Amino acid sequence: MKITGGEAIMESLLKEGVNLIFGYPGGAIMPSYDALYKYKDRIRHILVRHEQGATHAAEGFARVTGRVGVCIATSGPGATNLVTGIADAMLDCVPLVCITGQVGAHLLGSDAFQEVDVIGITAPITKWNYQITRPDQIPDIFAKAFHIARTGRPGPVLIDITKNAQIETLDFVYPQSFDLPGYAPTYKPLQESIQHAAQLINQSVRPYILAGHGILISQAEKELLAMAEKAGIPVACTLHGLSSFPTDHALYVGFLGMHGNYGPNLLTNKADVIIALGMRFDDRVTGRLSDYAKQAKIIHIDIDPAEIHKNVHAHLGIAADVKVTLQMLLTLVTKKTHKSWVHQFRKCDAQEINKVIEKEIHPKVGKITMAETVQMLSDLTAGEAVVVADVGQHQMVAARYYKFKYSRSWISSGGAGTMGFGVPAAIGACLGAPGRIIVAIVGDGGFQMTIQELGTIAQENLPVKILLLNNNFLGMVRQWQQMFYEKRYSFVQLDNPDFIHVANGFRIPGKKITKREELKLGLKHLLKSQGPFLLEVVVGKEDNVFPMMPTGASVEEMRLE
Amino acid sequence: MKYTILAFSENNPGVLYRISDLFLKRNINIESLTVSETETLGISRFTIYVNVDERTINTLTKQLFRIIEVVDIYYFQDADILFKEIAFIKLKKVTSDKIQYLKTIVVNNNATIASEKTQIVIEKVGTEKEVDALVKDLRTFGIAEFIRSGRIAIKK
Ligand SMILES: Cc1ncc(C[n+]2csc(CCOP(=O)(O)OP(=O)(O)O)c2C)c(N)n1
Repeated sequence: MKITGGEAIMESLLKEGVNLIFGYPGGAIMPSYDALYKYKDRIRHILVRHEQGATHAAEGFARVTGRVGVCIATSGPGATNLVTGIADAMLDCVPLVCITGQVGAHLLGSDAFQEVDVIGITAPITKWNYQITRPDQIPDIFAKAFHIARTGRPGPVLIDITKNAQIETLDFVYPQSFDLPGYAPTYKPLQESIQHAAQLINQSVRPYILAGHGILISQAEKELLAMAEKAGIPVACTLHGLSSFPTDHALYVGFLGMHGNYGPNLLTNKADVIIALGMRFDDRVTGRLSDYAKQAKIIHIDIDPAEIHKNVHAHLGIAADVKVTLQMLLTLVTKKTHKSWVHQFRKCDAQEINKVIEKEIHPKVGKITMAETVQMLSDLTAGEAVVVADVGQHQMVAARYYKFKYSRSWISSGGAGTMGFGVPAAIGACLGAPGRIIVAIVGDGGFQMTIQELGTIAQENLPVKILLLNNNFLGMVRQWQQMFYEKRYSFVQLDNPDFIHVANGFRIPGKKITKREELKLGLKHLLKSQGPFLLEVVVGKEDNVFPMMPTGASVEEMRLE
Repeated sequence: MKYTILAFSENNPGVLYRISDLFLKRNINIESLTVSETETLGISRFTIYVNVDERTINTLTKQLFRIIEVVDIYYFQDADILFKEIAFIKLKKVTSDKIQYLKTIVVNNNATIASEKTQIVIEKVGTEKEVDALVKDLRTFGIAEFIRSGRIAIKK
């Protein structure tokens, strides 16, 4: 039976198990939206307020579920509005399939109305992209797109479909298999590599696990836990590795990176064997490379061969799936404990608590701090919420102080650091994990970058809890200006709107907290509310996030104040 | 260090773009790039000649291999490959008293005169070094136009 290209897109989505998409219609995608109208009982479409919101929502969905997030937009400005989110997904390895309409095939290259070379624009920021100009290409390209997006090192894929290909008809047969001769991610490591790794680990005195996003992507949380416990290895998480290891575990030592915990960064240069799991030695983690872990033998396990030796030379590089690799390794590592080594981390913790944490979470005077707010949120939710953060000081504070209990509980923009990510990503997370509490922690700057998505939240009545930590500054930039530019506060002060009024305008209730005594009640209110809610907490204007590893400094030069 | 990269790829329109973008992203100048068919239908062969350090070539080729359509990738130093390019050099007006001298240069450089129709065009097949040497010798005649194909290479 013949169906239209637009219908074939919907059928393909259903074949891939997709029943939720985020999008925004327009001229060149209208035939597909017309098809969607027929499928609306089987495919839920969330009408965002800006296409960037669609990409971040799809990212939030993908990260909370581990499934592919899908968004759809029209040609030209619709497609270019997706760009920030696609780049974000590329840097953070988030599986997305983005569908864009395109002018009719006969008009390609003629500068027709709303024609933009989206294939060219997105080539550097997609794992794969493809322009469909004939309806019969749809099934095969969709099957490939989903396969590419979710396997290996996941990433965004874009399919651009000319208008005629959505209108014309085809015999729809979804392929069982397809030909991708250049794409075959390796999942299983070589046995000799595993033996070598086990030998290094078994001989080590100060082994150290750095757990990255790869643990969550390959669902290797159990294996990580088993490995750490069997071999007695302390575990630190990268920003995206957060929540892959229980924060209350005796072997958990904290969060790595520029604003991470003190011990995990500092002691990187004391470990004798570093086991890097599904992480990519980002410059925010390594600091000055020439002084990074020079004493250690590094075992780097990552699905992407291009990451091995890219930033840090690995003593042993294993380009394979981290779950499969850990399963194989587990049988070969010997049972051990490293008490005095783990104790070194605890000594650093004590310093950090003394110099930073205590006064941040239990301040006696002054304005409310971000840290006490997050700490209280963590306590009130028993660490069970999904925290979706925007970008800035509040993000680092959230990463530092929320005590994640479950896996896939931390969603944030890391590689790109995209302000405006928080609210739309929380929409996706909320739809992906309906049983869980979703808290978006945002700053007053980033909130306003995608604030229009409050409209989406209201229209869909999504119980997204927005916690706005308002310091009336672009705080993170202000902190840098204070520390490295002699307090020249160049364009970081915001003349903000009345956020509660804005939320109310979107028919979202809200409450503003300015006093410490009101904080707990305010947070309880936020968490107890039925639908969406905005809690604005006014925090200290010029508070800084510590510890800090300034750009270009080494992990040993982490500053506590 | 100079390297010759051989990349084999499915013949899709976007591949050239993705390949060149990886060099652009790192601000690496490609010395030459040629694309041609191969013995396998639907597979193209990219010969890329670049000047980068060893660490870069290592990561760069792995990143090139990450391009979905790229099915195989290798890189070599000159000792391991046969390589050549073709060049045409069109000369400005050569006066008759200099023709004999020109012919000696052409013969000495193992080149040929490909056309004498309106202007003299010299054709040379050889390594980049040989082409450079010929061009240097021909400068005295005045070069009107010069084109070289960039290298093609095959493993020994
Ligand atoms: C789209 C975008 N523009 C600019 C930046 C640079 N930047 C990083 S953090 C930051 C300040 C964020 O301010 P706010 O949202 O108020 O959060 P705070 O740091 O105060 O918690 C800025 C401007 C960015 N990361 N993303």
